[in-house]
Amino acid sequence: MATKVILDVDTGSDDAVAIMTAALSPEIDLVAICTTWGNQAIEDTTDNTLRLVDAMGLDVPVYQGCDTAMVKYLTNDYVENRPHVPVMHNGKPVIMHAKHLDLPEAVTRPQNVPAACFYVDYLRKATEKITLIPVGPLTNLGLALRIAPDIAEHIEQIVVMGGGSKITNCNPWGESNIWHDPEAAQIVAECGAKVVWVPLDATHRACITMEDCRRFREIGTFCAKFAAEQCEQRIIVHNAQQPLDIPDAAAVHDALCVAYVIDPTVLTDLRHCHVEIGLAGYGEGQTIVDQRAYPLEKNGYFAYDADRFKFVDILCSCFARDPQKA
Amino acid sequence: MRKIIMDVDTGTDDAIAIMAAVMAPQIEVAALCTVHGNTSVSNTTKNTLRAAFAAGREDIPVYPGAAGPMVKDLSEVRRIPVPEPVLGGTAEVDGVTVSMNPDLLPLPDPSCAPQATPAPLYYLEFLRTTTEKVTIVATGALTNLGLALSLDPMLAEKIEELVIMGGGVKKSNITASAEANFYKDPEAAAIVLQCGAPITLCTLDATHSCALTESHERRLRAIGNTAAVFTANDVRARRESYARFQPLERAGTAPIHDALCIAYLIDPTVLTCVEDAACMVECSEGIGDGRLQVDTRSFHAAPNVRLVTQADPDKMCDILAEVFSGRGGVTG
Repeated sequence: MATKVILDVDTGSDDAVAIMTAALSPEIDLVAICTTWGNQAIEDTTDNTLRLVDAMGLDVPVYQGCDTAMVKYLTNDYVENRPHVPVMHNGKPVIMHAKHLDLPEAVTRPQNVPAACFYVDYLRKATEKITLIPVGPLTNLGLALRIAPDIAEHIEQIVVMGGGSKITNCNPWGESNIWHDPEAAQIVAECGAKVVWVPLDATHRACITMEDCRRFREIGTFCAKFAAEQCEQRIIVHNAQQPLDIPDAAAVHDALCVAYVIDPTVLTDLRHCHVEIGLAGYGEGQTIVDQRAYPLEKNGYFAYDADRFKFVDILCSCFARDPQKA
Repeated sequence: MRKIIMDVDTGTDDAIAIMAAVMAPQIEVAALCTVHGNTSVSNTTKNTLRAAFAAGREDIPVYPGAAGPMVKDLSEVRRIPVPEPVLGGTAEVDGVTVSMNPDLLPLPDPSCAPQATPAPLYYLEFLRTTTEKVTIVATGALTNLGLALSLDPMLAEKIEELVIMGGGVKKSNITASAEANFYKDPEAAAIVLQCGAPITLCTLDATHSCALTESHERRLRAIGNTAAVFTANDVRARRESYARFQPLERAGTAPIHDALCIAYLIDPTVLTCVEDAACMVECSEGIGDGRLQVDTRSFHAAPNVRLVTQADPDKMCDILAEVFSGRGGVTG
């Protein structure tokens, strides 16, 4: 039976690949998509999500979420995230996450209920446990868990794209999703449900190469082609700003979480450990894994490595199921 | 008739505020939301049901709210020590141990139960659908409103007025710098103060200034009904408790903090010092956590609060006595 999944996205180029993978996988029953701020403003991440939902012809409700962190903006030393810096490529600026996905404008509107309320209502009524895949800042879930902590009992697992132990990105110690809303991330970390952290350590290993993009294009479906476009754009930016161990490759972070729910063996070094989030000072937004021989209570699973070949195979088999030709 | 929602951590002074509100003909209480604070949210919910029942209004829906702060408890160094600093403790009165904030109020239990909807979601549903603006009276930690406003900041536009008991200017109680309601959820208080709705903030300075005396206590007791006697008993317990643990400037008096918010709605002239001010709440790991910050510069930021620092104790007693004796709460 397919796993019931709620995605929580800040679409976002890699979010788009994650949505397509989840929607097409026979292993996943995508019951709803929540949107959150992060890669772009909430209006844009919601609009991008709806554009993709419409382009794929999906019948999945979209719930708009929060437009900023739970509390991070309250302090007067709050520093805004730096804007995406474009890379010039063939005379055109390319950024990691375009403000608007290159798709027709959406016709579908988001539901009238805020994402956090949807979590509380849906999970409290759920007759089976639900898998959550949040791949942006964790604000919606943080709020939902504070409004109704009991919803944790209705969660099968939370597969978070976020954090980094040996790799960071948005500042010297933080990964973007966690850094954007550290308090929400910490609420998730200690909520009592099973939490699987899919950090940069794993997503950078599961990179997608130009060769993989050619394989996507050969599949010939709409989703395969659109995924190839997103990945190619990411490779350009990665090459210029965050070169990976393998040349001409990009991390497609969010899709790895979905691939893990489809086939858990795609994460190859998943360690049971104590994870917590730094909330203040120089550690703010840092994902801290207790590395000591006598760690604090193990409260989550942290992925250190992933199988990039298996990852691409999973993506290809999902994209091939898309009935829409490119 | 003024429609209000109360957000309470009942609490004896919350109970007096509830009884006064539901008995006042000028006020219609649409709902009671509960929150952590004086005791656990499960106790404050029970106590809220009891207080409404004692005043004959067990029909008012009670929505259980947050069990803890929005985020403060995530930080080990900011966690409120258990047992928390003694604010009331217990005292002996005529050989009987009295407490100004017992876990469970000495009032009968009604048969009704709280609602299933969490308080922040009730706010969202009610405020989104209401066609008339509503006044919210919040006399505990501001977690429910902080969460609701985070779900949808536009809710503030549906709030006629927010009447809050919290913060202190020259006074504090739970720490050297903070008043308890703000201290228990500084982030929620900060979110609420900057939400854009008109705010009347009854500070500790105001509630201490209108603390009730022994003669007020006698006057209330003479009314003889449940609400009045409950209030008189609390004035007595507080007079003893404050004398021992938090001596006030006027010896032998008892502040009934939360009731001032309701007294104000019945008769605004009970407030004797109100000024517009730009206010924020400190959220930090330091000594200032939960402190009300008032911008005192001559070139201060735009005022967001009507800051109340003084109120009239005789008028406070008049208002409560009139309401409890069923004379319509009309005061001279």
